[in-house]
Amino acid sequence: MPSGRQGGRPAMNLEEQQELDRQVQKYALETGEDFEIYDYGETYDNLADDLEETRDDLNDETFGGIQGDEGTDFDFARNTRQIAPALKKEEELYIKQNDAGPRRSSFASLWENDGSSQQDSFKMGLPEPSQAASSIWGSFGNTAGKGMDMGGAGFVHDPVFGVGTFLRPSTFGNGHQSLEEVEAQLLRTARGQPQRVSMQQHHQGDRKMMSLEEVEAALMNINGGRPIYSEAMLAEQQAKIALLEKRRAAREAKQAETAKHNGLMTQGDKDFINRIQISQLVTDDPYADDFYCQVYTAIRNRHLQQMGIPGSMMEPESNDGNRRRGGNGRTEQRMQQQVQRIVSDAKRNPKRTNVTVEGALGKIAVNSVLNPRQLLQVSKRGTNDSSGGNSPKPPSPGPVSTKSHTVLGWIENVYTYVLALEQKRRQQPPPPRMGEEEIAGEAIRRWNEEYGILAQKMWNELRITVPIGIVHPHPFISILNYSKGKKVIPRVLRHLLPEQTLTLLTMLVANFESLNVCKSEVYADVQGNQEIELFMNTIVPPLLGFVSEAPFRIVVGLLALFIERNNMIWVARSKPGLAFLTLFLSRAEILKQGQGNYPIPDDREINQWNELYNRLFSQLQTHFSALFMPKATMAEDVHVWRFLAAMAVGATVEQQHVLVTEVREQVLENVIAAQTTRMAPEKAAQKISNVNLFLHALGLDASQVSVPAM
Amino acid sequence: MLFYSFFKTLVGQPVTVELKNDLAITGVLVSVDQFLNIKLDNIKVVDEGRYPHMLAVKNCFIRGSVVRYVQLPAASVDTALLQDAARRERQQPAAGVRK
Repeated sequence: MPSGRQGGRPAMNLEEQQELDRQVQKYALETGEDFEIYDYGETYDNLADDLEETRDDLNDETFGGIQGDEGTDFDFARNTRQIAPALKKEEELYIKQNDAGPRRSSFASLWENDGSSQQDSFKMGLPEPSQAASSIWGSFGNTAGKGMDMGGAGFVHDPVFGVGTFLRPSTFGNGHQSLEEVEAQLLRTARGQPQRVSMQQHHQGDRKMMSLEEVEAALMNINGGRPIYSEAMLAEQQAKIALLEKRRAAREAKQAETAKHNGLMTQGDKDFINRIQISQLVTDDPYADDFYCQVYTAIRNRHLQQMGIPGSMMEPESNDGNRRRGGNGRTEQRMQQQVQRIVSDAKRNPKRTNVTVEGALGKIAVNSVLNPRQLLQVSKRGTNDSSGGNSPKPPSPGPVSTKSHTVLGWIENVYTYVLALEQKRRQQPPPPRMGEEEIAGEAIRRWNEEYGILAQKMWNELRITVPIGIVHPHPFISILNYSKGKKVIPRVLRHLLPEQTLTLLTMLVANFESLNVCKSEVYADVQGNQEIELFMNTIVPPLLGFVSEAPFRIVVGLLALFIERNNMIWVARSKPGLAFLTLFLSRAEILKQGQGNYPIPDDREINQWNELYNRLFSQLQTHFSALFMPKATMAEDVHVWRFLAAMAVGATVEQQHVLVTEVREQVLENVIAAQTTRMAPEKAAQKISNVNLFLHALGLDASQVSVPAM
Repeated sequence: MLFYSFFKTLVGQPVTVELKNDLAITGVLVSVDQFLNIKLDNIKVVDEGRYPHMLAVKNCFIRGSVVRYVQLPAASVDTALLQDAARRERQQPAAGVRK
């Protein structure tokens, strides 16, 4: 009999496994849940299948039937009893994991059932499902309740079979059946009387001869016949709970899985790895290797501070140690030192891209961030031509080519020196402390020298000193004709001496006509307008700052040069040109009135100025209204009004009269436009204030303008 | 180092990383290293319908070599500074050789 059962087990296992799989698939289809990920099949190792299951009659001797002096070391039974609730929970969990179908939460609940009606249900013949199901188990269950808390499997001592019957819990794993199956079952029971009879015969006659698989087959038949409708709701709920439980269990299992690796690495190991990582990222010169991040952070922090937000956006991680804030400075400092050592170590080693070890089959690559593997092989020949133009050489007084790549090369060189100068500024030695004047003085002197050399190189590269007339356009103007060149000017001006700035301004004014931005916006395309905008934003403001501090003599000189060398009608129609004219006029007016710290210019200078002004006025006469944009463009014209105001302030009465007559139409137009209701209030106010710029200079106001009835 | 330096400034910004397998992941940049490996948090796959298995993923680590593009928030990129950084980068090895 034992041999028969053992022979039958594998087949049963297979069958029941298939059944289980089918159930799971069905359930998966119903719920749309993917059970693949919950497959913990591997955690069950089937070791129990190989256990010797019979001959347990000596168990008492083995497992503490004798209550003696063997101590409690081997008293597993008591320990088990102590943690019985936990085990029970675990068992429930296990069932839920392995079983997709809705069912009882544990075996224990089965055993709690009253199994008294077992025989009746068998004899009744008609499927009486839940009752029958429990009764089957009830037939085992009379005496074996205590065996069920033993963890995942029930060790059943059955009075009927007389032997220990080891049941895997998955034996129970055939939840409810589909409707088809139920129908088939009903059909079978309806016409299949012989089957039932034979079953009864089994039960009644050959009870002793019934093997396990027969019992299980019977169980499945009867279980299968169970109607499911009454339990559907409950089942669903249980399934939900089971699912949650399963997830929790899966998570815990995962945690337990990884927990065994806890403490595998010591802190020292971790530090070592950290240092390797950091040594790749930290450099001794953050402004060289981490330029973008450093400067970006600095700029952002400045912005934030201006906005009143004190905190820093982020701490640049590779800053000098002494600039660090307090806090855990000690550890950071130590870390810094270690990293410093690693970095310097790496520097001492010659930079090789790979190492070939004697007898080795391959090469060991020792690439680093600073020394990456070269993927592109650019031929040297292609770079030679441009590098010829790029190499910084002093501008020759001879004919200078103004081909685009040459000019772009100059601009790049200017950038190079600007960057170098800015770098120098950052490394400016601190002001000398007490007692260290000599050392600090030396450092400062050297720094000044180096700075001066760089500034001179940059100055040369701008080619401002190339005499006018050798090439057209002038090299400096060529530089300014590129947006890149325009953008660098504000940064250049920061490093120039005042007389150099004056030279730059003089050169600009003298060659103003050849600037590509010196044309009316009407004739400029979109890109041209962008260039004009850029010029107004980059070059005009710093020069405005310079002119607004210039003495009268210089302003007169600049305006004289401006009028002398350019066609005023053309220049005045461009926005930048008008801006410069306004600049000179208003500055001169301020100085004439004796504002600021400068002395009031003497009569000779005033006469000079008046002469200049008259020349300008006579050149522009009859063209004042042409300074305005055509109406169709809807362009901003505030700069024109500003210029007219600057003109009006210095004008004689006759000149003012001329001015008013010429732009009368524009004034009226604006006032009328502002008074009609079709315009937004802000825009109307803007128009009025524009007109007032001019009218106030004449001592008038827009409200005095009477709109003629047309 | 330029790219590493650049991406470092984007930490905390939302970016979209397009991978070479056409997966595009939007998330907050947590960290980046010298290999341009990227850590993202609060991720969302751009085409969720195609990659439903990514729905449950909340954060990820992306190996730098599988990244095709990174879409950046334009406001947090200083292009002028980036140009300067590129210039400096170009000068750097040359300066080393000259010395």
